[in-house]
Order: sequence, then C-alpha cells, then structure tokens
Amino acid sequence: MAAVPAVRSPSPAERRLADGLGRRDEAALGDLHALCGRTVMGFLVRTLGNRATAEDVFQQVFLEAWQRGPTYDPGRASPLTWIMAIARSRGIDQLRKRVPEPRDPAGSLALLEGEGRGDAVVDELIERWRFAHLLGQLPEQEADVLRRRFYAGATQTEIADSTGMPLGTVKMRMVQGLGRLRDMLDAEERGA
Amino acid sequence: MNERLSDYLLGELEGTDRERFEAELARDPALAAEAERLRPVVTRLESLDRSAWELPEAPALPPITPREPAAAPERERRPAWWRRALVVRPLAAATLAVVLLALGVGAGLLLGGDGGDGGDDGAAGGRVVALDPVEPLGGAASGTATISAKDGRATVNVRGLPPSAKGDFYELWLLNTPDDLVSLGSFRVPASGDADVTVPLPANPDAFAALDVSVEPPDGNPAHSSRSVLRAPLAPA
Repeated sequence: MAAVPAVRSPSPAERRLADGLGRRDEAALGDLHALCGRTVMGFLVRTLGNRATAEDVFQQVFLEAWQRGPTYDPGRASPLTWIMAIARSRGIDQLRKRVPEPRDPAGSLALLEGEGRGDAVVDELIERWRFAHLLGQLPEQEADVLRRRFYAGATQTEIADSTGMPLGTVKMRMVQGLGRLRDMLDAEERGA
Repeated sequence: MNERLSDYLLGELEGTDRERFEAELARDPALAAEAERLRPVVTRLESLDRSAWELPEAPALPPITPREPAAAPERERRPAWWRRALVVRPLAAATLAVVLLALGVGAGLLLGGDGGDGGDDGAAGGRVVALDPVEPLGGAASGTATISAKDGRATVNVRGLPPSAKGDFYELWLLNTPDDLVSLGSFRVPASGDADVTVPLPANPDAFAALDVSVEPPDGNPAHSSRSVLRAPLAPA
C-alpha cells in the first residue's frame, strides 16, 4: 500500500475537466458524469443493494463533486479516484444509517466494521469498480474478447468460432487488452 | 507477439505444450517479464464481480443551477407569537425526540452531532438539493438535503462546518423572507465538522424559496441570528 500518493501527470483531458470544475462549469460536471457516472452507480448499487437508495446517494455524490469542484487537483488523483472517494464516503454514510434503531450503545459503527460490512469491504468494492471502469475504457474489440473469456467463460477457440475471427487475432487482441489494462492500472495506481 | 502467451496466461496450455512454453520463458527474460506483468490482470479479471461487466445506466445529474438566493433574515423581525409557535430549541428538541422515539414514530430532532435518520430505506425517493456556503461564515462547508415530502421529513448531511462552540448550535430553516420562515430544528456539529440530521417537516417545502442553516448563539432568542452558513434553493418538485 502506497502511503504517500505520487504527484501524477494529468492528461490534457483531465486538466480541462479540472479547469471546468474549478469554474463551476456545468458542462464539466456533465463530462465527469459521462466519464464516471456508470461506474459510480454500479458501485453504489452493489454496495447499497437497492437501486432507489443508490440513485439518491448518486445525486449526493455528484452534488458534492460540484460543490468541491474548485478543490479538485488532477495532479493528485484521477477524476475516477476523486469521485470514487466521494462515493465511498457517502456510501458508508448510507450504510451506517441503516443500523436499526434504537442504537446499540456499543456503537453501530462497530456492527458494520466488525461484521464484514465495514470500510474494508467498501474499499475492496471500490477497487473492483475502478477496475470495471478501466475495462470500459478499452477499445471495443479488445473489451469484447475479454468479456467473452472472463464473463462468458469461453475459450479462445470458442471465441474464434463464435465470432468468425481467426484464432490468431483473438489471441492478439487478448494479449493487447490485458497489456492495455495493465498500463491503465499502473497509471491509475501511480496517481491514486 | 508470442501467441502461446495468451494460452499460457489463460490456462489453455496443457501437458508437453505447457512444459515447452515454460522452458521458453526460462530462456527469454523479456517474455517471462511480460507474462509476470500480465498475470495479475488475469487474476483480477477472473475474480471480478459479474455485475461489474454490466455497468448500470447512470441516473441524470441533479439540478444544480441555483435560483436567486433568498435574503438572510434580519434578527427580531418576527412577531413573538410566531417564534413561540414554530421555533424548536435544543432542550425542547431533545425532549420531543425522546417522546417521538418512545412512541415508535421514528422521527425526531437529533442533537449532538453524528445523527441518523432512523429509517431502513434512508432517503430513498426524496428530492436532493445542494447546500452551498453562504459568505462570509460558510467557508468551505457543503452539504446536501434530501427532502421527502411523502415521509414528511428532511435529511440533511453537512460537511466541513466549524465545530459547534460551547453553547452554540446550528439551526435549520425553511425560508422565504425575513418575515416568512419556519424553524425545522437544531443540531450541533462535532470536531469532525460533519453531521447528519433528520428533521420532520412541519410545512410544505415547496412553499419556500430556500433551506437555510444558521449558527445560533445560546442567548435564548428564538429568531434567526442572521448568521447563515449554508443554503439551498428549493425548486418545486
């Protein structure tokens, strides 16, 4: 675990996004929504287990991003890392609210954190959804072979048969997709 | 590219084919390094939650264009009868909360900081509005309020407020003009600067221009202090 985040070199698109958020430009919030909205929503639905509640918290997350926009520094975190940190906080808040009343004097937080539904679990989910977000950034051809292999469970030969692609092409796209994912993971983790 | 690399990483090489490839890895450090670089990605993909492959559609963004903010009320503008009727002070709020909870109503005014909404479904179905800082006291504070007219309550989450000084407290208001406002309840903010509060709605929020948070001194005066820290415009649902 890296204790001190390295200073990262944001991409031009990230800088534009940060500038827009800093100016409270509504279009920038729209860009952030387009870039990360589905990942944030997926994380919240999975974490909170209820779509209606997740939608409420989703709105809180983006309102908070709007409010905090001028403080976002792309040199410290990618947009995804930044907004997922907000989603994590609001998700944990929501989980804490669900502890039935009356409250246990020993602390409802202990119930969440001691029974496997606490911060560590949420952090694990965050990591999975960050990864899922990166999958969504892959070129479609590479994402497709990865999806067929790791989601549908097809072998490379079966992928070639079902798509009509030469087997060599399937293998090439598989390795390219894995390599691109690794590069994106490295870039994210350097900046996280 | 070595086509056998993907076979190897995906476990599709067996028997002598696998042994031959592992011998090749031993002879080729660059190929071995690439295999080691990609292996963790395969592991993560294999353990990925199935739902992560099908990201849900994101809900639309909440409305963020602020309306013209309501003017801060001046102190001592309301008639005495109105103050007595509508303002809930900390001691009375605590008493009321205990009574309501005892009756199983599950709603009350939560004093003391970390709050909670006492509901299983949280703010589901409510309308969410952003609380923006009011200068000069709001600073970097922020917050959201989820207004559930159906449940007759509002849940307010505030972040980055100065912790309550001794005796001071924060008060929530529905606000139109200095002469037209309703107190919803009061709360204190702990050292973290964050607080979550749920309050009953004694009036229709659609009839007010703003939800307001003020800081109030312990002077026994039930009027708005004119020291607002956060405010959200209330567009009709």
